[in-house]
Amino acid sequence: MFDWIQNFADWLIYNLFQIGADTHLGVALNFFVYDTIKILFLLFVIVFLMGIVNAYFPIDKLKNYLANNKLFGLEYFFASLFGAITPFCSCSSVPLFIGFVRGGIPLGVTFSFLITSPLVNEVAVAMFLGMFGLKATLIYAISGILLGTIGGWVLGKMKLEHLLSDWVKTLLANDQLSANEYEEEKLTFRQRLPEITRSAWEIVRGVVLYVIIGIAIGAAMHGYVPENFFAQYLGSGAWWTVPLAVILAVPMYANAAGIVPVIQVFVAKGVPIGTAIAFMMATVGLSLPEATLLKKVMTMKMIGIFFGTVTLFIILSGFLFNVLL
Amino acid sequence: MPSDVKQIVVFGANCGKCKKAETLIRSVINKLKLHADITKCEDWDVMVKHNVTYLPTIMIDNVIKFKGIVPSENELIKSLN
Repeated sequence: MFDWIQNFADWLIYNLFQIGADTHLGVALNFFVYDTIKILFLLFVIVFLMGIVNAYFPIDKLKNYLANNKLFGLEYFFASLFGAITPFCSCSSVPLFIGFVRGGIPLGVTFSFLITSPLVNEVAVAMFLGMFGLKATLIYAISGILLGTIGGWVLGKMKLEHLLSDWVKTLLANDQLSANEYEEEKLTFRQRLPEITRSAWEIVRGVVLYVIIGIAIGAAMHGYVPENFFAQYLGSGAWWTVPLAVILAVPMYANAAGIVPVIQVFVAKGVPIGTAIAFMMATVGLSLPEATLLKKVMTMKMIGIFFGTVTLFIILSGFLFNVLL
Repeated sequence: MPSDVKQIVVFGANCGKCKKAETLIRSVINKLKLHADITKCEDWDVMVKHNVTYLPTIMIDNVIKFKGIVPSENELIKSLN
């Protein structure tokens, strides 16, 4: 499928730049060009496809559906699934949270959405596909959605409503649903298509630098870090490596585009893939900026319970992946 | 009440996309030499009142025009007419 990229990279480096295919530099540059183009191509395709799916599944319809139907537990799964499909900037987590809770959606279901939304995003999926292949990507996406489902259900069982911030409590107490007091413009799919294409392009442009830096660091590490370096110190099944990787990753706020190429080298040098996936999930799924924003709607205790529960589930999935993969 | 002064509100937080939306609107309004009141609203209470769920959201003359996206210049110009 990617032969054309390989052919282009061969032509560019070996023919045009005249750097020999038998030199270290030639091989490294060829690898860099191939990886960068492949990742950017996959990114565009996946962001574009997600954009189309997103145009067909507007969040408002889901919200009404979840609020008005008894789904016998499936609502957690649906909320989590839609969290995976809908991309949103983390600054939207406050208004989305309010929208869900005001719409009568149970807190646990709202958490399912909140957990999966940053965890399974189009950039992370495209990067995973490009660097680890289809199987690892499916495992990442499916386990992310399941993690949101189960995490939301558990958080729902904890009955945390009393830990909402005073602002939200006042809001809910005085709420006369003032829905639709404004007009909203509806667009047809055909009208949306240019916008979807453009925003896919924008997202790719926005992360291109991270991709290049990530792949460059990855390529450099490939050459300098000795084979089995990590396996020696971290890899070989020591149980504490998964929690350590996850706890290190939670406060990190890294772009999936930059972090995946680096993780790939870790895996190539002996870190078990389960540990790597858990690290990745903790990096993109939980972040300090998100916690700061959530302070508006949750008390610190609630944020602590939320982050703690998700961290625990990520660690558990890390162990599970290492057993399964 | 028809008026040639456009009322534009950008609901947003302190993130890159939201800032970009505001900058874009200001530059387009300048370019077209339109009269407009442009407000950046970071007040969660006001956002709740308008049922804003995605940021940035752009409201022109009380109609929500863009949700969660930074429009292109052309789209913005179209929505201003």
